[in-house]
Order: sequence, then structure tokens, then C-alpha cells
Amino acid sequence: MTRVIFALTLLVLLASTVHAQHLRIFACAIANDSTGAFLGGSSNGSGLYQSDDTGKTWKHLGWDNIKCYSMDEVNSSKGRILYEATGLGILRSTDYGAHWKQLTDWRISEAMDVAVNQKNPNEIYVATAHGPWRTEDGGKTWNYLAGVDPPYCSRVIYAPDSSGFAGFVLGAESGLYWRSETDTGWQSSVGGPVDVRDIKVRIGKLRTDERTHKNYRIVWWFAASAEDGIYISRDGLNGFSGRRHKYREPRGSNPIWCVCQDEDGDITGGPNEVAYTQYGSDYANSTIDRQDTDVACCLMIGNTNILGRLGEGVEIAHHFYLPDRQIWTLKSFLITP
Amino acid sequence: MKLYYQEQWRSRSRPRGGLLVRPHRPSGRSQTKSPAHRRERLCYFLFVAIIFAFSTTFAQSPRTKSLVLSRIAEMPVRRDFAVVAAKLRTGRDTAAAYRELDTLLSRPYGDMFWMYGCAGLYYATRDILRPPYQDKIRWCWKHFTPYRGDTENHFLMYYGSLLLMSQAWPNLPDTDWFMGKSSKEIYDESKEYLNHWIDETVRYGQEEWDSPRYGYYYITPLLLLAEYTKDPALRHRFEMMVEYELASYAADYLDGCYCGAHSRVGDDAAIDPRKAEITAYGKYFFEDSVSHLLPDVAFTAMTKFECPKIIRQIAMDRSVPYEQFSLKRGRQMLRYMNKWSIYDSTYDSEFHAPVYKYDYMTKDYCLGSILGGIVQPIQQQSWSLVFNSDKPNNIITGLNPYVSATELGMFFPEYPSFMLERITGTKASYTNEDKWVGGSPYERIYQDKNVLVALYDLPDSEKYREVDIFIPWNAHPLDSSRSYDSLADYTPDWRIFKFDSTRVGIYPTSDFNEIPEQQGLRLRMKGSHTGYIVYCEPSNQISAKDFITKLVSSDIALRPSRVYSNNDNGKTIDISVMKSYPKDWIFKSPYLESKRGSGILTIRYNGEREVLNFN
Repeated sequence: MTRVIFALTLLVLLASTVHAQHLRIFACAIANDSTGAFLGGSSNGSGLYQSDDTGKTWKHLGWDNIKCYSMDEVNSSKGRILYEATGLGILRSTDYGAHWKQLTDWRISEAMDVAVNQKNPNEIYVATAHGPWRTEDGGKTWNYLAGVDPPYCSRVIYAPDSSGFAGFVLGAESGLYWRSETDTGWQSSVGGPVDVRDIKVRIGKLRTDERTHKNYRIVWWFAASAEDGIYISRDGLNGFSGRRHKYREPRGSNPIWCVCQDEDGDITGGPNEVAYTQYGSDYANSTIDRQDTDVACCLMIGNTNILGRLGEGVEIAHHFYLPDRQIWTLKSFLITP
Repeated sequence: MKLYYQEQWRSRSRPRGGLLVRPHRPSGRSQTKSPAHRRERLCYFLFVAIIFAFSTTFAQSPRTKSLVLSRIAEMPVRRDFAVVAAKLRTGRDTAAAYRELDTLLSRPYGDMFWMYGCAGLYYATRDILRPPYQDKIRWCWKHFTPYRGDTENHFLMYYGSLLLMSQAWPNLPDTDWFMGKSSKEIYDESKEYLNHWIDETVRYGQEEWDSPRYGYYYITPLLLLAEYTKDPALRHRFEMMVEYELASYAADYLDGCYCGAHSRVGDDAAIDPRKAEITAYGKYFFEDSVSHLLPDVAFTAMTKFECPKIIRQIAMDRSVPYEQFSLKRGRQMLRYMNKWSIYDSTYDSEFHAPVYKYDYMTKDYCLGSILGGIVQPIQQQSWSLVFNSDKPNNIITGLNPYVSATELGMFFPEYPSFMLERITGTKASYTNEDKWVGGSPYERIYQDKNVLVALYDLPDSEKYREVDIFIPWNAHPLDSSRSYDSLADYTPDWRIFKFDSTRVGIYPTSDFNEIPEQQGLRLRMKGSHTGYIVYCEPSNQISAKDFITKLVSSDIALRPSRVYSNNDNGKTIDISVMKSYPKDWIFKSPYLESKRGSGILTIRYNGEREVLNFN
């Protein structure tokens, strides 16, 4: 009898854990689109928003009047520990966004992105408009990371081991930079993308080489350049050096602000167009929407494409949510509240 | 009898205006109180009485302070902490003031402007503020999340307010403050930033330098800090910083107008200098006047601070013309660092472009400029000629109406092209071809005393390939009685005007139009390579006829390295376009002197000296 009760309890517990996990989408807004809520000290309507129903309803989270450029979470916390990259530095919440603490001081402003080392969450990188910063003690002390010149950077990601590179990758005005856990300085691409606004890595399915019978995965690195289109490398980060991997046709030197992908294909967005490309197809065959888009960020979740627009909020299947917000970043995480 | 001024480093205990000491009496002289000695003593007391009376008249006297408070208290209640504070302090209309305070504390208004007003009200009225409102203010600083902003003035307001409020509630844990830091952490961080800002400013130059608009937002928070900071050493630094800002303003002050080039000026004040916010402080501190009151002066009137006499004298004495060189820093650039000027791509290790400012001040006018380029976004004024006149629009200024995503991207972090699309919501005039503020990377300005030459090389890719000069309607044309014709193209020729006691000649170097506008005449020069010469002289030194003859016959020669009057081989006009400016001085003039990196400003006037030593 005891065994049955134990087994039933375990089953219930397991089942509840499985069902409690769900996808939470975060939208970072730098302002609303009203007159005066733009540039400099203006921050009305800005902040962090979350949705638990794939973008249909949104809830404002944390501080009002704060330009929220991006966010990240500690994956192992399942949504409990969040970081917010804002105009006045980095904020952290340890209770799913109910309360926030400013981790940085006067030296760090215009934090455009934040990335947590998921193996060691005390290590956090920040991309700011004045250059990159890092903490190794969970935000108690921060150090400027020299070597990015000019220093403006707007994207930083933490790349997992499975990408073939374990460390941080930085998208900067001056190019693409990366720093592994053992590096003491930045490495950078030579002759590759500049004005890098977005970086994504896609890790392909496990395959087997028919001749050697060895298992392998293809890893695609994407870099969106606000100067001249989308760059893709299958040769790791070093593959961005030189221009041979750049996909620009038929879009010439159109600026691209964001890229996202799933197993079916990818989306690239920018000020002038948003393009949908099927997996494996050449960019020449993309479906392109050349509206006045101002697509700054995107997400692909199942069959749902989500676009974050500057001034028009979040677009899902031609419906607009948070309708007048300037959405800078969209992210999604599996959470367990 | 002689009185000597004893030079010494400034200290709080020293009386304003210098220490007056009697000379050492030579030994061996008789000590008997002779009639001559009594006369001498009488003279001495009379002299002291005159000095005292003079100081009382021209400092911010108790009467003036009281008048300021009552005038501001009379203003209709509005969403402004200073107006509410004035009403509470004077006991006028307090019910309405508390109602307005309820509104001001009812929801977060968003930023550092709210913060410094709230801190100012709290300190200026806390002895009379009803306890529930003190509790309400405490609640706000726990729950509201005001934004820090991104400029030098924003940071001063933000950290200045936080320093005062963490001082007011010194032992609170991090859970009692909106940003999740303890009182001690907030105080220490604010102190560190404010000390850093002061050190950078006095050693390497201010970023938002000489701003007729934002100077107002430097003086108010600094005065609050100078009055209410408890730490004596820190308070002393804030007092010196107020005097530093006022001394800088005083040297560019001409009868209510902030002269020369400006980092940031409002659209109105760009062509009507007295409309600037800072005029309220110029009138109050330098002239003991309440003629241009704005609400924040109420906060000032509730402090003990009085402008040192030596600074007031510098602001008011225009009997002797003088030149002033000063070194400032451009706003910190985020990107496109080498595009702020096509003639200069230098910047310091923290990405500030150098700003060399030059002023020539006389009793009749002030002509002042920087070398050109974009060193501040959107609101820069690169040069101006301000007339000593009580009429409105007493200014001539010019610019290339430059509009670009590059300028915005240089200083703001968002996407440059998007910012350009949307900027009209915030800075409506920015994209306007007819604007009167803004710098241009294609602008080069050279000045020597009363002569200014501005040259522009405008590429075909630019939206507005033209250069405009504003000439106020109050300037009387001397060279022509014809009506202005916007459609006519005029060939390069002198346009000559008189504005009160100053004669001005303007020489466009390319074809131009004359466009009448509401407040003045627009001279518009078109073309890839254009520019103009501005020449001025006091009318009591030259007749209209001679002035016209002198300029019309000058036969201007434009050479790559020199612009000069050919007929007299440069006697009238001789400007080297290779001119170099002193690079080692933050200030260099008969009144202000500060060597770059020293952290020391020496203020001189008529044999007296005051030293602001920030080390």
C-alpha cells in the first residue's frame, strides 16, 4: 500500500512539473511611440513586458519609465532569475520579475544587451553603447573589457558548448568579437560583418556521416549587419572573416537588424523589409515583405512568427499587441512558476 | 588710505569679495590719536560702509529673496515643485499647493527633473511640511522608478537628488529604495559620481558647456547641494562648483544675454537670447533683479547663497574689451567618431571632440564662436554676435541646416535611421530646413576679435546644401533702401546694418537670397562652397559713411589659408584659416584663468583675485 501511495505521489509530482513548464515571451520596449517619448531622457511607455499565451496578452513587469533594451535569464532558475539591460544599467530580479535591484552604478549606462554564462551564472556580460562590461561575481563588481574600437556594441550572447564555441559573442559597430572562457582578450573577425545588431546560432540535427559513420551536427552562425545584410558561417566564428559567406542577394546592402530561425527556416528583419527564408533554401528565394517595417527583433515559436516593431509593438499574424511600443528585443524561455 | 587685498585660497570662513586688511603700520610712527589719525579712521569707516552698502545693494539681498519668493508664490499653481515650495514657504494659497503636491506625488512622472524638484521641496520646506507629506515623499522614493537619462545635466540632477535624499534617510536598507540599494550605497555612489563629474569638468572642460537652456538645470541642483549637503568638504566643493558655473556664465554675460557659442540652446533663445532659461539666474545673481523669474529661482532664494561680488563685477563691467579662450569637451560620442567634422577627426580617449571656444566681448557687442563641427547633437549654436541692447532678437547667428542619421547615431544609442524618421516628435525643428540651431561637420569658423569668417564645403549628398544667417528686424540696413526680395539672386556684396551702438557688415561669399521672416531677415547662400564674413565695430568709433566705404572698398580675397581685405593688405580684415587656439587652457582671459588638468580656476577682477581650488 505504501508503495502504491509513493508511486502515485511521484506520478502526480512529475505530471505537475511537466504541465507547469511553459513558454514565456518577453518583450523589451524602449519607449512608446507618442510625441516626446523618444531620445535622451524620455522613457514613457518603456519597460519589460511578458506574455504567457504566445503574445496574445501582455503584462508589464518591474520598473516604469525605463528604457529596456534586452534581457536574459538564468536558465536553470526556470524564469525566476531575470536580468534586464536598460538605459541605466543592469537590473536583476530573483522572484520572476516582481522586484528588481539595480546591479550597476553610474559608470554603466545605455546597456543594450546582457548575457549570462549559463554554466557559471555569476559571470555576466553587458553590451553597452560605450563598450562591453563583465562581472564575475554576480554583479558586485564590474570591469570594462577594452579592445572593442569603436566601442559601441548592441548585442551579446552566450554560446553553448554544442555550438563548437563556449563563450561570449559580441556584436559591435566595429564588427564581431568573441571571447571564450579561457581567452584573456577579444578575438574578432577580419573583413567580416560590421555594425552587427544581432547574432544567432543554430545547431542542426544529429547526422551520421555515411562514409565514416561518425555523428556530427552542422552549426550555423548568423550575424545581422545594419550596414549590409545577413552573414552566415558554417565554419564557426572564424568563418566570418572575409566576405565569402555573406548572403546579400537579392537585397544588396539592405540593413538587417535581426535574425531568428527554427527548423523550417529563418526570418530576417530590418528598417525596410522582413524576409522569410525556407530552411536550406538560398536567400535569393526568400519571401520578402517590403513594407515600412522597422522590424527590430523576431521570434519563431512553432508555427508562430512574432515580430517586434519599432513604434508598432508586437506583430503576430498581422495582429498588433502592445500597439504603440518601440520593441527592441523579443526573447522566450521555458519557465516553471 | 590704502586697503590691500590679501590673496588666499578660498575658504568658507572668508568674507565674500576678498579679505580686507589694514596695512601693517610701520614701526616708529606715532601712535597718538591726532586729528589726522581721526580723519583717517573716519575715512576707513566710511569706506567700509560704502563697500557694505554696495554689497547689500547688488548681492541677492534679503529683500530680493523675499520678492522672488512672493512673486513665484503668486504664480498659478502648476505641476512644479518650486512653485509649490514658494507657496508653502510664504503661506500663500497653501491649500492649492498641497493639492498640487498630492498630484506631484501621486504617480511617477518619469525622470530626474521630478527628482531634483522633489528633493528641493523636501529640503526647502521640511520644517513646515505637514508630516503626512513627508511620509508620502518617502513612499515615492521607495516605489517610483525615475529614469536617469543620458546627459550630463540629467546625471547631475539624478545623483544630486539621490545624494540629498539618502542623506535625509541615512540608514535605510536596500528594500526601502526604488533601485534596491541601501542609503549608504546610494550616498557613496552619488558622491563618487558627483566628485568625478566635478573633477572632469574643472580639469578637462564641461560637456554641456555654456548652455542658455540647461545651465538653469545645472545651477539649481548645484545650489541645492551647496545648501543642504551635510559633509562640509563635499558641500564646499558644491559651493565652488556653483561659483565655477556662475563665473563661466559671467564672462559671457552681456545685459541679460548669454553670448558666444553654445552647446545647447532652445529654438527661441537661439534668435532671442533673453528668452533662455538661464536669464532668470543671470538677472538674479548678477543684477539682483526679478525681471525674468522662473520657478527654480524660488529654491535659490530659500538658500543662503549669494553670488560673490567678484563674479558679479565680471558680469557687469564691460568698460574694457577682452578676449577669452576656453576649452570644452564635446558630448561623448558613441559611434562615427571621425565624422564630427570633416576638417578635424581628433577626439580624446573617452571619445569627446575638442571644443575651442573664443569670445570677443565689448560694451557694445560680443562676437563669439567655436571652430565648427558637431560637438553636441541638435541644439548646438556655433557662433553668435550679440548686441548690448534691450530690444528683442538682439543677435546675429548663422548655420548650415544639417540633418542626418549620422549626427543622431553619433550621440544616441538607437538605430540612426529610425531616430531620423521619428525625431520630429521630440525635437520638432531638427529636420526643418529653416531651423536656427544645430552644428554641421562641414562648417569651419575662424575669428579674430571683431571679425568672423565661416566657410562651408557642402557635398552633393547633403539634404540642405545651403547656409543661412539670421539678421533681426531691429537691425537697420545702412546700405540700401530697397525692399527685400526672396526670389532675387544677389551676387556677393557687403550687407551693412546698425543695431543700436554697433555697425555690422556681412559679406556672403557666394550668391544669396534675402528671405523676410517674422523675427528677422534670412540671408540664404546656396552652393557647394560658400561662407560669409562678419565684421563689426562700435558706432561711436566710426561713422556710417566711413564704415560703408571701408567695407565696400575692402576687396575681399579668399585664399586657402587666409581671408583678408586686399585693398589695405589685411589691415581691416585678416583671418588665418590655419589659426591655432591655446590648447592648454580651460579658461584664458583677463578675468578667468585655468590651466588644463590643474583643477584650479583663478578669477580676477580689478586687482582682486579669487581662487577655486578643486584639488
